[in-house]
Amino acid sequence: MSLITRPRASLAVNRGRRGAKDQRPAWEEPPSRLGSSAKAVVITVLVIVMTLPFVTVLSTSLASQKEITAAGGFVLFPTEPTFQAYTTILSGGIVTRAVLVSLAITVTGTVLSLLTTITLAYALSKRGVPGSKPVLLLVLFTLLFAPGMIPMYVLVKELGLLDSYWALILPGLVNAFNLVVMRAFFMNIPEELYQAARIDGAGDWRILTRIVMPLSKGVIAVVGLFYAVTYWNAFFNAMLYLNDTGKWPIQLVLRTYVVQSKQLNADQLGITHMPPQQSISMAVVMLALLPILALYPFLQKYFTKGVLTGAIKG
Amino acid sequence: MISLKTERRPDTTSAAHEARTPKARKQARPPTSRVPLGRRLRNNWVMLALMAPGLLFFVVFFYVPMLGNIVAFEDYQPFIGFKDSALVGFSNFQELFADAAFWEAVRNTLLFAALQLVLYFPAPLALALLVNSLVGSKVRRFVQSIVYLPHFISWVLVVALFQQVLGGAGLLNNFLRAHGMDPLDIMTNPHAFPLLITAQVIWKDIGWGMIIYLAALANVDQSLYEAAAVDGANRWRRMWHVTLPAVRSVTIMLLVLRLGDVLSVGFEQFLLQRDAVGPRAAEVLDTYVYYHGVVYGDWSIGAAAGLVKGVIGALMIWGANRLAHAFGEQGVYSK
Amino acid sequence: MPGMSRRSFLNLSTAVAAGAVATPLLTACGSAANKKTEAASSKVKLPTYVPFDKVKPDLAPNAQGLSAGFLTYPKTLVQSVSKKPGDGSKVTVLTEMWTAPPKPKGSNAYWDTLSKEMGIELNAILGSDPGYPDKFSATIAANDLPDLMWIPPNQGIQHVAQLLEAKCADLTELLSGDAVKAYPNLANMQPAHWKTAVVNGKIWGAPSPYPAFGQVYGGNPRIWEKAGGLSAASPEEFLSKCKEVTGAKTWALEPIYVNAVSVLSQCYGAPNKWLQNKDGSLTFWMETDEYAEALSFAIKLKKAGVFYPGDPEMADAYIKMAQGTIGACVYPNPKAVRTDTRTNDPELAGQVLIPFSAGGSAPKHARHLGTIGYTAIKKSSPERVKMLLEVLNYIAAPYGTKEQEFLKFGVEGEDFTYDGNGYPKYTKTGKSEVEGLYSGLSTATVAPASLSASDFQGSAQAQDVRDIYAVEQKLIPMIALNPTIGHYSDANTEHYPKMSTDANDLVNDIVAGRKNFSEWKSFWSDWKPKGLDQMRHEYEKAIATDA
Repeated sequence: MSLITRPRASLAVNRGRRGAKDQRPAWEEPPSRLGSSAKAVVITVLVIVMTLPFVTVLSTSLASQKEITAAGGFVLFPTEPTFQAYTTILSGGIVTRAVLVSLAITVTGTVLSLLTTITLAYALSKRGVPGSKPVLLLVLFTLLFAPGMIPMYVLVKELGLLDSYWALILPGLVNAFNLVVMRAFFMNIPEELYQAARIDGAGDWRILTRIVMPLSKGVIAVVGLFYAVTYWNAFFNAMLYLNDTGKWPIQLVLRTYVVQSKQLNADQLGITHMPPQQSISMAVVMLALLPILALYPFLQKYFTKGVLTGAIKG
Repeated sequence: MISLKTERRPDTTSAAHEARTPKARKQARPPTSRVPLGRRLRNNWVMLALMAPGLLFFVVFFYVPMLGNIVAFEDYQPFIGFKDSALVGFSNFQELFADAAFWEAVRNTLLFAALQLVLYFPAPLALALLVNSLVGSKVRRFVQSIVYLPHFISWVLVVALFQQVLGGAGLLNNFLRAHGMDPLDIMTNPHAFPLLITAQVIWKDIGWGMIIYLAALANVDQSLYEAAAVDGANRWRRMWHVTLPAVRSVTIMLLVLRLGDVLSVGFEQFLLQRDAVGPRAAEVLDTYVYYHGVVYGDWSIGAAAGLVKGVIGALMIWGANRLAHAFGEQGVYSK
Repeated sequence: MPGMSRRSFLNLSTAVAAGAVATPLLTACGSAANKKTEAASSKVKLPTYVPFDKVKPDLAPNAQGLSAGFLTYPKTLVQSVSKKPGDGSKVTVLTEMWTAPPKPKGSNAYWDTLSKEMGIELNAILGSDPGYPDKFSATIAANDLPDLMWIPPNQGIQHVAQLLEAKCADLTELLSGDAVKAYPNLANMQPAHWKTAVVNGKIWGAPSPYPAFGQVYGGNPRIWEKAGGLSAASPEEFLSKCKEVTGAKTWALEPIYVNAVSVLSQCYGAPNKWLQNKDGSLTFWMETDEYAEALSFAIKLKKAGVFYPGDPEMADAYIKMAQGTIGACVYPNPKAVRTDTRTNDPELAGQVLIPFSAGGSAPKHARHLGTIGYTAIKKSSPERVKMLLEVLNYIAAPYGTKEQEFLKFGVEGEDFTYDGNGYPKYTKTGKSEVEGLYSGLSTATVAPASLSASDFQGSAQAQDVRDIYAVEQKLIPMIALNPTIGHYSDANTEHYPKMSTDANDLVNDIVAGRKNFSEWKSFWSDWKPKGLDQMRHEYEKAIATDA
């Protein structure tokens, strides 16, 4: 346990090993038959239980109303698949624009959130920084309480952010939970690394960019994913702060396709709109999911074992 | 789509290099107390500058609007405003504590929280260990990219899909009827409800929760396994001595945060299934607050209940964190 | 958003269900806070009803709420507004749309044309569902008032009276009695519509009419065929028919017990929310013996196993009915029965259960409030208020007018074309430019509902109009009015939402078998001192004063 090569070199080491990953290493004993078949069963069941609903959602989105009615709601095998539901949605007036808005918000927001979170987490992870303890408590406090909707609205208005895209980013810039997690990770980076860097004459900024961030790709990927998903899925702030429908993000637009009041009680006077076509509701689920499906494989490599192997010579 | 609750739960990771206890680290750091403050500020100006944007965010977008929570101590009327509504001291809290339905909601919440803690909390970790132990990287990637998907299904759809399988006219019961057996009442049975709720949570979020642990596991030095194997450690011992320690600090931190959040067990999930099992079984603190704050228009009671929740959460975090320290863990903040 | 709304369950909850779980403020007025300023609604002369007669429907409407029926699309359209309503200024309207958003102003050619036609620069803030009440409350709290704002009666917006008095124009003088004749399309609204826009004895806006009829059971005729159709002469017959159609994979009724009891209580003759007794005293409908009898009948139905064994929140009950798994569902009104079944299966003509006679009292049909709210005008100069009323008058153009066609479908050739039957149909452009905007504007205000053949899918459209018109004719003699509409009670604002939620929860628990029927009576004796009696007395007083 001790000294370190430079992180860059360590990652190179890792890259070199990747080819051999699919095989069981020589030192590992062969798996027991019972163990591996139990594992196979569990995995297969899991995959089926997790996939089947998606297949149902996808199939239903491709089914005709006739088939959906005949099946009573969900269709597993559409006999004559149709993209009708998708074309209905995609030909809507502002869908294309809304997708672009969402992408821009998600990318900009995630980058800004990550930067702010990383810098604050880094500053709070080091001992001896004046004020870091009270600041940490201030952050933790935000996990437990919440400002109300109306004060938030008034604040956003006073800052002149109504009808601005910044209203979709700034109010949720840092998530305390993500921050605490990031900080915990930074604190787990071995002290020896900092010392070695300091002996080399590196300052706080240099240590962050050359040591901490490269060693923290995993947590940055995870927290980045959480931020990205939050930005992508958010609709409430947009509904509240944007009067111009031309600026709406895609999730808010998609929700209008599934406007659906539940059965109103007898004394709940009201507007009752009949449920939308089931195929459209399901197509909305699929469309909302697509970018997540596209993003995940790119992040997956950071969750793969052995990323840091070799960083620390044991 | 609106699963705010669950989106936040599994938001963590940590490199978790083991074998470095907080104690060891403490000793390695220079003592700071002797250095005068002015010099510490000067020495740390980079850190202070890095801290500034995040701190500014919390002050502007959290602490400023937080002042609005004064309504918990008021008889608040939106069209009169925060400033002019009458101050009523703690009477909203007294009213809250005098309401039997509030305590029923607390009791239900704690029951669901306990079940989630025992049954749901370890599940993503177990799945991460299982996935991590898969040898073929293709299979591993495939499984990984399947199991997190349900997180993105809205509760409305989750309930509808469960209904499809377990409902009174669902697959299971239609099968039972077709074979001359009595149907099982699962979805509308208040006694089965806690288990049903937990099962839904596990299905929806096990894969999403797993990601954090995978990131932690990704940082395990693979040569440690080899070294352990050479020392004669078998599969289980290697998991015990190498793998688990690597995720221990993440797990404990998540646990502390979860305990702080113990009075939040979900919202939409309960609102949607309230009529199926009745409010006695399905009312939780968040739905209680919803009904009082929004449906009944009593914003002040809603805000008061929110504050009570926060205070209890703070106590839980404080306690859990102390416990973590007692076991030599760093928890979420240090002493 | 991370950090902020995550824990703000008020945000969260309203986002989730504001539109779904609606608060029933009968008269949409009142505040618990400022009790002194809110006297019970005093006398107000409602606007004179002058039916629009330039377009003759095939089936005539009446003042009790019977819809006008149009079997074909009128061949020649008439003009209902003679001059441009606007004065060239910018007009902002806050309303809610129920479709996908239209192309935004600036890239929407129709929007510009509409602005020009109305003589204003139209600016629309289009809320969506759910979330309108949040948007509304936030906008008001931040003092961001638009010129025109739609105020729904049932989305939990509280303390409306205070808002109106403080920020909105009192329209009484401009609309009361014959004054309304200056706005002929608004004069086409019936007294029942106007009543819902009266608060504190003043008229505050242009109503947004909705079909006058209330909840009914609608059924799939293929299922009820073997029992001789969805009709009954007595509870016993209804129960035996339900049992008859329930089979291995079919159940007679959807499992939404609260709605079931509500519709059945009409058969037993329970009143529409409040019963005005001969001596002027009021009885709440759920306190009555009639309601209790309906509740115990529902328990019988439950025990007979005729309710679909599913979730009382099920969203796909209508599809399951078209499929043939569920025999009948409760619909918001008779027309919805037919439009819905035709949508799910163009061959399926949904049937309506006419309330049958059960028990001693004659069956009733509970009329709907009749509007989905009204659109109020921000306080401004008298000229501007009049101009904005002209704008609302334009938007309320009735079926068969050029304005209505232009508002709903846009410009012929661009936004719509006539189909083989002569009905306007959106082009792709119209769908993306006109539909969403019309959805918002027609929520703000609209002409009273009519039945027109183009409302229905399938190939039997004219027949659908006749069928539903016939159902409405049968329901008219049974119609029961809610005597408290247009009157104000502080206690109602304060206590009704909780009382109603608790009562519905209890109905649900009792029918499901989780609680005992004996708890019903004691529930109401408990509620008497907790607010019910107060509501009752305030309403009694208000009705006596206004009469």
